[in-house]
Amino acid sequence: MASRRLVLAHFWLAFATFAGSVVLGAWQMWARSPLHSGPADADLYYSSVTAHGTALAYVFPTLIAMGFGYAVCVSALDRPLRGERLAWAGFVFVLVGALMSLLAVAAGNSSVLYTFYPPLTASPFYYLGIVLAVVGSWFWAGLMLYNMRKWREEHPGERVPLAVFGTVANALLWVWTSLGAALELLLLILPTALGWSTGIDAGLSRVLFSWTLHAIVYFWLLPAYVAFYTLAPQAAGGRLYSDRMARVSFVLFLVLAMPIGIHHLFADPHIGAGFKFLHTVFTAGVAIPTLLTVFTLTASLEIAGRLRGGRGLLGWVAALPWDRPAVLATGLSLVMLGLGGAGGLINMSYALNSTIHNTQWVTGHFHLIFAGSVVIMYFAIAYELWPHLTGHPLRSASLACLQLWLWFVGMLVVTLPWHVVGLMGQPRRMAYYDWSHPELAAQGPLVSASAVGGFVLLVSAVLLIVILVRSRNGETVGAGALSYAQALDAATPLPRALNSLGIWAGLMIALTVVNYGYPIAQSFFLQHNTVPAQSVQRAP
Amino acid sequence: MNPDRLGALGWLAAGLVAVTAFVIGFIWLPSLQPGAQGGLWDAICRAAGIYRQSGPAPKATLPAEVPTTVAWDVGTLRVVGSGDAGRGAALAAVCAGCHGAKGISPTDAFPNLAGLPADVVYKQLDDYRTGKRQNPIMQGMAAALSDQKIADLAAHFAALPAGNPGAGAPEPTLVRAGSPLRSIAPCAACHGPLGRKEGAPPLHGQKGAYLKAQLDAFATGARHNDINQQMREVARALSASERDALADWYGEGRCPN
Repeated sequence: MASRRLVLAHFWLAFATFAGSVVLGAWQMWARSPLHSGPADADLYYSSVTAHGTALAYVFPTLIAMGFGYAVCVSALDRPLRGERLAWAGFVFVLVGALMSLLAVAAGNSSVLYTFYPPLTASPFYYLGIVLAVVGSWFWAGLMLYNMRKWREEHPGERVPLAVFGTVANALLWVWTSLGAALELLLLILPTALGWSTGIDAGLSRVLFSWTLHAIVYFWLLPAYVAFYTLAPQAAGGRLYSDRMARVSFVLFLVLAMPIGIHHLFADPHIGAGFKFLHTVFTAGVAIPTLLTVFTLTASLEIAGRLRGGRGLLGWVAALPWDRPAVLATGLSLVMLGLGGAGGLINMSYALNSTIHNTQWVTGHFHLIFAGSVVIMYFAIAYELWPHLTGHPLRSASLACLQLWLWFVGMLVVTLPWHVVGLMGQPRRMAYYDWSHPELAAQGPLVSASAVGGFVLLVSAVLLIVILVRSRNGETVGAGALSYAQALDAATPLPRALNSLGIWAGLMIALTVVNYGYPIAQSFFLQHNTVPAQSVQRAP
Repeated sequence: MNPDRLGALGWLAAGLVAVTAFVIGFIWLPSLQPGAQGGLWDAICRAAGIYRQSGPAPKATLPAEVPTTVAWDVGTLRVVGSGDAGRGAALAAVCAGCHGAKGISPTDAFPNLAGLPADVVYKQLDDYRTGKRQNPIMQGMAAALSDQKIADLAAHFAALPAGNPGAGAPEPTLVRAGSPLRSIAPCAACHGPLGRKEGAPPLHGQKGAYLKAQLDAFATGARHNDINQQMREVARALSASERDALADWYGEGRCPN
């Protein structure tokens, strides 16, 4: 495969960041569980939470999306990447940015958690590092667009390969969604962190962050969806049920990911109730591309199962090759997506949200959806790409399946108790709970159980690294080109709107303006919005 | 069905959903809110987050209690920061009778002021001046002070060295852990050392008897100049013995005189 070193660099850095952060996560769960005697050091705890969130929300998925994007670009378009030097420059930006941020956190000067929580202000290096990493990812987004455009110019009238179409949709989504947090950092937080201003408009900061905060989830998710549509049916030995349905689902994600972020601000008094309701309705709209994907994917797997001799209503499920990592990961991912999606319906409902707002339920939800169903697909992507990147076979598929099972079981053991204690009222973002109190004591066993799950995840993460390192050696095989699932409807003419993204990007921007325009504009005439900044930096 | 017509139907359905959502969210639901009045435009404005006065003002309602006129906005902090300790020292001659020449009070009834952060003294003097905190002596003292003089006095007391906290009895759990089930935040979250909020004084080395009297006054509501009622909420939730224990612990062995 062309650009091997580029892709490998992204994946290695991603998984190194990931493994370190899982260690922190496991420690955090243990430190505030009844298994730990006495309260943990709160300063250390919040530094750890900040590092965990920053690494796993900004650095890890961005690198996976970038690395997988380059791999898709060279393999699906079957030609070298245009602008590889810029791609390396983007990589260096992410690397330097990540180091800057994480060192500022390690110095104990930036424990604001990855969502920033203004008026808390951290060391400027923390924010500058994040800005650098985001700018690095914009290099990638630009290159994805450029490469698709060049290819289309040279192949007029041809259908853009589905994997590229999904990846470029994700690149467009990322550029537009990262703008919110970038504006928040550059215009509001950094001037305060640098000491040029003593106050900060916390309400506007939160609105701008919500612009990024929900759509970033779909930026994390879409590489997994590209793998669902193009790698999983291929690994199962089947066909993609519908290429057009897949494209409809990608463009709907592009359009609907943005105008929904205010469902994170249901408890914020400065946002009008009408906008909260509108964002609830649009969030519900995301169910459409999600259910389309579940349908198409299930149909594609059914084709594979029946080709392998499966019979009857569900016989095709048993006939699927569950010993192949990409197939197993897809199945496990769908289970977690179903559970997590059901929980998400509670979060996004304007009325139901009040029962779980800021409880451990929310932490459980996004770990199940992101760390569960999405990250397990990142593993599958790595396992599928590895032989093509290293020239050596995966050592071994059965070990990889064990790793995936451990991740699945660990994630359920972690997140299901979190959902339950959240319903019991446990607040999130706490370094310490008084387990000796009779009312909290009932939550103790559940929290202990989930801490055990954290260590199962740690074992799985170590196993992942072992497999990836082991697979660099061994006999050399010609892995051939990375191939993608063929679609049943590959010969059916494609509507023009499903072979380009311009109209959908326009709709994304228009809907953002409608749903965010006023909530942002009001900050210019609301009084007393600016509150004094609270530095979390340690006194020298 | 023809794909073009299917596409048109899709757009139509999406448009209908959006319009329906707007009608429900911006017209129907706000008109159902308790106390909703006014017409269509008012409903839309309320839903968007614009609250404007409409119609005649309701009569014979009790004035809302405003705990204090001090708000910790950027402007206030600028005034507090502009205080001059030298001018404050001259003004403070009159304070020495009760609070001690170096801000360490000779009697238990009056608080120590030495080393208190400027925002703490600023807020209390301003509250005495506006009558938000009541005390016959202090209201008289503060009545004639300007914003700048208050800031100067605050700067003066902040510059005085605080008394040394001595060793004491084991720390009550409330100090660092609060009581989560009663929604009592840890004392140390606002009063230090875990965190510091503007206007919240450090308590180490304060007079125990003074602290006890203030906690009791917050609990009964006799003192009510805490901006968001946070001290009244906490003091009401504490038992009398917990209030005593906290006041004793903060005061015990820590009065330098």
